[in-house]
Amino acid sequence: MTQPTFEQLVATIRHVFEQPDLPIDAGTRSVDVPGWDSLSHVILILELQTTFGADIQPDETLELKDVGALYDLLLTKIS
Amino acid sequence: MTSAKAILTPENRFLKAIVDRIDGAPADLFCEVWAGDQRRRMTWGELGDRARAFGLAYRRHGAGPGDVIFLMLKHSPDLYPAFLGAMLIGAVPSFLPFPSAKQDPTSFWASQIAVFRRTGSRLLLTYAELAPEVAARTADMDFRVLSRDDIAAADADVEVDYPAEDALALLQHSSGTTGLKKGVMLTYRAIFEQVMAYSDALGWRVDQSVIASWLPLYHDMGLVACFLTPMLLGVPIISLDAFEWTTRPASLLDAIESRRATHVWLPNFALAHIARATPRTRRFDLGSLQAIIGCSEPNKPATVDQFVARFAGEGVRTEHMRTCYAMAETVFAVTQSAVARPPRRLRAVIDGGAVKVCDGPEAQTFLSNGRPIADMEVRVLHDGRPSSEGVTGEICVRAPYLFNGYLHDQATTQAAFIDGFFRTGDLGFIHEGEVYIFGRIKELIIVNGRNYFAHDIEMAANEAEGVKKGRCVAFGVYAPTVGSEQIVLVAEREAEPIADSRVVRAISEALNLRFGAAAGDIRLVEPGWLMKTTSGKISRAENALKYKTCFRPDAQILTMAETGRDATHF
Repeated sequence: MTQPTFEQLVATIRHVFEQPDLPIDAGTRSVDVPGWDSLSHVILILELQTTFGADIQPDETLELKDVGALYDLLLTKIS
Repeated sequence: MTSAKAILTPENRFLKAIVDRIDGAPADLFCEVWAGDQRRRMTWGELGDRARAFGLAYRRHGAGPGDVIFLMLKHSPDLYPAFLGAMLIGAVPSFLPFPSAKQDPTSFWASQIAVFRRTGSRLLLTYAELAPEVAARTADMDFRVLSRDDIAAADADVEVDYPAEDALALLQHSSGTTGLKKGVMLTYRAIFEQVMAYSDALGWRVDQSVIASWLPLYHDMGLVACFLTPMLLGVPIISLDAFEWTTRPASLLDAIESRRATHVWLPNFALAHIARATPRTRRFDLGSLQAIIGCSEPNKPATVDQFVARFAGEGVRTEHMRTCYAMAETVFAVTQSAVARPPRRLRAVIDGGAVKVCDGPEAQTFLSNGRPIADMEVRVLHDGRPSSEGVTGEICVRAPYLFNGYLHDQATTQAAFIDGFFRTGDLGFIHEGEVYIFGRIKELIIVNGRNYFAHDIEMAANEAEGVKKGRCVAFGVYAPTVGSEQIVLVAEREAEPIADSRVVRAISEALNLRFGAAAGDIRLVEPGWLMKTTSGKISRAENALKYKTCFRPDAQILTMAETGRDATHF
């Protein structure tokens, strides 16, 4: 599996939250994204598993501070 | 150990059944608590021993008959005996939620302390890490905080003080975030009679049933359907942690498969969450299931279909999918759909308060919640008068097992009744004896099974920078993907220009801190955008309609009585 780009992660987030025009950068936090709650977070992680083949679990992402941190973690989880 | 059986006041059928089982079948399984990889089994004998230990500790800390004891506990086997132990000494247990890391401690504790003061309680049991904080926050009150870790095995006989059947058994606290949580008072008689009536409607073989649940016990569905009912009837419980279930919803399926569970109760959003978040590569044997009962949120046909489609190959059939309409004020169930057939789906339009069955393109599909359970009367109030079948209005209920009122709140209790019927605040109708719910009068937004009052959301948003004070409105919009409502907030901007993104973030943070809630949509509008009622109040219903027109034509907004409109969704 090739390393995902940050833009691919952004596209996945927009897809999961059904907001194609959502502005997202590395500093975006979950609180900035309408509808990003603990349940939809699980759906996002599942999407990362299937889209990128990432061995990543929801409970190891709960303390991440922003999308940039999620991207950094994602890169370490690509098999 | 004192034989509880010998002392028991025979009138208390609820406690008698439980104590009989503790004494008569001590080796049988009461529950199995799942936490991470641990599986902790608790027998009836262990439940009894531990409950007596709790009872003794409560008594040594000054609690006795009629005293309210609050339980603020995380998921653990002690949830059950801690509650039962209070009952054994005649005290009145009440579960409360514990603080979450996301929620602002100040507003959380303000709400809880208002409850402590209102009830006059002087004792709370919590987990060791939280005990110092509770003690510090209640230092100016005559209030004792007991740590769960300090409960030793009972070192003496417990002089059991069994309450009479009409005594107060427990308090359930309703939603409410501004110190307005209402304590629903339930007697042993009400609980016993509800459970018996509901059990008949379930049509289950209790000796062959197993319940699997992740529902928290401070919620009426978790407390009554998944704790008090199985405790009274002797049905084993497989108990999961709600927080673990959220991140790994398939854990419920693991529990069903490995423990051959037969019954689960789930709010609509949970069906959607399990179906969406269970990897397609996972397969389960769910053939033991007899009933998956949707309750606590409006049950949606599309969500039910999604769940059945996802797990049809694994043992889930449409006739397993049942519906229930319930509330704390009736102990639990008002209605329950029939055994072994899917809940009825009614194609109809609502026109001028009348339900017209039809199957044209304008018709909507309503999912029945079934018939009233035994001894439950359901009446629909239309324009202040009881109406006949097929007419929409406020659902009102009467039963021998209604609550005894809200603790220390006579005015609210009186206002909740009309001609002996409890006014539920829900909008619905009866068709061929079955109850359908399609909206509500009370201004609640139910998100993933949690209730939020619209005015609480608005008050929090009002405090965010950039929002024109008093000029915002909150309402719920149904989100089919997640199977639940989402909070929508429309706020007018202050005259002073602040970047929209900053204002939206401020509102999001305010909601997150106050309620641990995320809004599904936040819209900023120009001053004067929001519409008012003729009495000068900002109209939630009319502004919800305007939001739909201006921003989201496909938005599904639950009917609010204020509009006088009849459609299920605008």
